[in-house]
Amino acid sequence: MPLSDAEILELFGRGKTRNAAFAHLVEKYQQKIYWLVRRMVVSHDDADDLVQEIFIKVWNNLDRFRQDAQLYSWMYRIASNECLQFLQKKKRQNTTSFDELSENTADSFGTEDGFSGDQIQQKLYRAIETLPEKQKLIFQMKYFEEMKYEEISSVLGTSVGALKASFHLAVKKIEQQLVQHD
Amino acid sequence: MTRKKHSEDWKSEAPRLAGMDKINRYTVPNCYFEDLQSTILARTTQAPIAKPKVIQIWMRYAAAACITLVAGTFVYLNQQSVETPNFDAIPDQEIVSYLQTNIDESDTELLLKNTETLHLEEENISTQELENYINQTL
Repeated sequence: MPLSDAEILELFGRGKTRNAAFAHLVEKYQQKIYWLVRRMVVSHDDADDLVQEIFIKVWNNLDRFRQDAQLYSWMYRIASNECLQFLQKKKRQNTTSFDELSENTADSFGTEDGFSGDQIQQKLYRAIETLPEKQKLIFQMKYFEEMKYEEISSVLGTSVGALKASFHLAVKKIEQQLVQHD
Repeated sequence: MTRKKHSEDWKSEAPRLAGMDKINRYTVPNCYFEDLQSTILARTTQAPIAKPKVIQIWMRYAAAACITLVAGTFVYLNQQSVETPNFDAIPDQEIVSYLQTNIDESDTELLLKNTETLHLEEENISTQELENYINQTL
């Protein structure tokens, strides 16, 4: 049975059990963080690199983590920032526009190893790829992770009202594309 | 209940999306998460800690002494080189003797150049007169 966040933090604070506590933390959160990142960046190799960097940041900063926030919110915030920075960097490095880049990534569904969806799923994933980065992140958290708006708000620092508006807009865009491609 | 109803509102607006299952369609290599955990731990808890370089105390003092010596020498030499000689204190005869002994023809041009910057108008001596004097004297 995995340890609670409070137990992990207590073990980490003791010093001698610091490494064991961090091992528990990695075991508990690596998959959640991986899937959040993977849905954002699509490529497995990019997600693999990013997840490692995220946990290194967590390791380096866990001493300074203030317990007035939830541990998972804090880790999700680090992961979200890393994803957004990665996508922005990729956008800058790419000579084509980000819309084209998103379309290229979207086109790879169904042809690339690492994706096993049927046609309708491919349509959904293609539609998600056309969303702006932050809206895509909000959609992933709400639709796939089924997080509450309040939780997303504590991760992204965006008001609940703005999150609701952004999610509903994303849903409309995706629905439109799903219907169009019928 | 209200919160749940509110968070499900979108389903009526997007029936096609609402009807889809949320099965994760991405795949990862076999045993990926076991390997990932090992990689992360190798780069964090098992990573070698960089030891700060130990500098012997005598080396610190020696370095400080060297810096002081170099800085002191620089300041001393600087002070020496900026001291302006006080020509007023030197008797005229001594200057004349020095010039007669040490100056040569190539210095004439330089002297003439410098006379242009002097305020000689008050003395009523023209540059030409001065040039003639120098040519005759030196």
